[in-house]
Amino acid sequence: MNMHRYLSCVVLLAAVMQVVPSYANDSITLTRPDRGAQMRLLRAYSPREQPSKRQSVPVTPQSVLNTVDDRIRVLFDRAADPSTRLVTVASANKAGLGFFVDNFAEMDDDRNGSLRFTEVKAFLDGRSPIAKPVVTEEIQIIE
Amino acid sequence: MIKRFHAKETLPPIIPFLGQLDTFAGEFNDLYTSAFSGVSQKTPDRTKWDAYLKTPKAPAFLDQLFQLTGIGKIYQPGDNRNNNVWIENPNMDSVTFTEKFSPGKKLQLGDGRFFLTTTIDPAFDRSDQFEDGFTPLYQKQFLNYTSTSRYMGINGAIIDNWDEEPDPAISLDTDRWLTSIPDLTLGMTLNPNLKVLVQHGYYDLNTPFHQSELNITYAGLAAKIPVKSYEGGHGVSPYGTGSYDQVMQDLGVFYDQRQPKLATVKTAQAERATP
Repeated sequence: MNMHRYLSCVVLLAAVMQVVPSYANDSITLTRPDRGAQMRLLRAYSPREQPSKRQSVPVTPQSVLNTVDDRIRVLFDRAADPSTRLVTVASANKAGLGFFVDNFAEMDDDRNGSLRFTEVKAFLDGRSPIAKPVVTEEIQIIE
Repeated sequence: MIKRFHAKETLPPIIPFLGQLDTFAGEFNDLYTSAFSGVSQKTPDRTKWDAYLKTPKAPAFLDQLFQLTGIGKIYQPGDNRNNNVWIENPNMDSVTFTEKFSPGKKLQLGDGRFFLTTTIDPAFDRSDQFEDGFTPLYQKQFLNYTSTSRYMGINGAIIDNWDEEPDPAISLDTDRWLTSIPDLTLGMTLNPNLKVLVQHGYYDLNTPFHQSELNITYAGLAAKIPVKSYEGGHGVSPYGTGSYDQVMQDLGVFYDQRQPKLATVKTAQAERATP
């Protein structure tokens, strides 16, 4: 390799290997956040300073279904017209509960234009991810 | 799990170890109901627990708590609540666990593999400043974005303002602080197409993985909601999860899966039970 070709190679290599950008503002140093920052970002909640002293209710399909029923009742009462205690498309719209509006036709079993709680509950029971616990009833013998 | 991690010289394989823990957790929960639920009530009632401590089974149960957690000591005849932490309260909460695990040090609540290096646990930190400066730097230099507003960072103050019981119209016979299963079930009822996958880190003391497994199973939701746990802490982040590829793989399967097929997904407990 003559001197000219050697110098050309050196210049080319120097150009290829140059890592310093033309302007300092073009670069950013990416650093991994410290563990403390990560955990603060990830925290879903923090336990109270003092642990809860409430006694937990055992979780069972029935206990969960009962509390879901409470919540359905609250939603129904909010959506209902206060004077009739029935849900109409207008009352649900006024309450801002689009769920009742979107599913009104399916829930309105008797097609009378208003929903009773039993209609709403029957509709939602059919969509529950929890199967209703089987209740074994004694067979009544009618003589 | 945290004691197993820190006692590396005696690290047993994780799957059979989890099986042992499942068994012990079942025994623990049965005893909670029958013997020591009163101990951690606001007005403690130790009657049943004190009666249990006089039975021949009690020493083995206390010793198992010591061996599994590394906290306390082997039971000696004559021990009492002043010299045996498990006699005082077998139902130790996770915050107390972080304090008692190693003398002079405190575990991180969000990841029990690590000891705190600061005085404030990140889970309790109410500060708002973004200490590492990464986001302002990223915004200014990379996005060419600047703002005159004060950057709120992680908004830690929300912890004290968060209301877990926002609706006084709902009678909360189930404490919303203890489980979100009823709210989740309502969500899945309103939208039957909602798919749910729960992912936990084994070493998260903030939201322990096994309680999710139990609650979902007890609620009758195990076929609809798979629970997956990994070698990580709270939030199964890409930074601190040993098997993060598995996290992403499970997420990929979950996103691709149609709702009805979820019923065929094996739960974590079912997977462990499979030889």
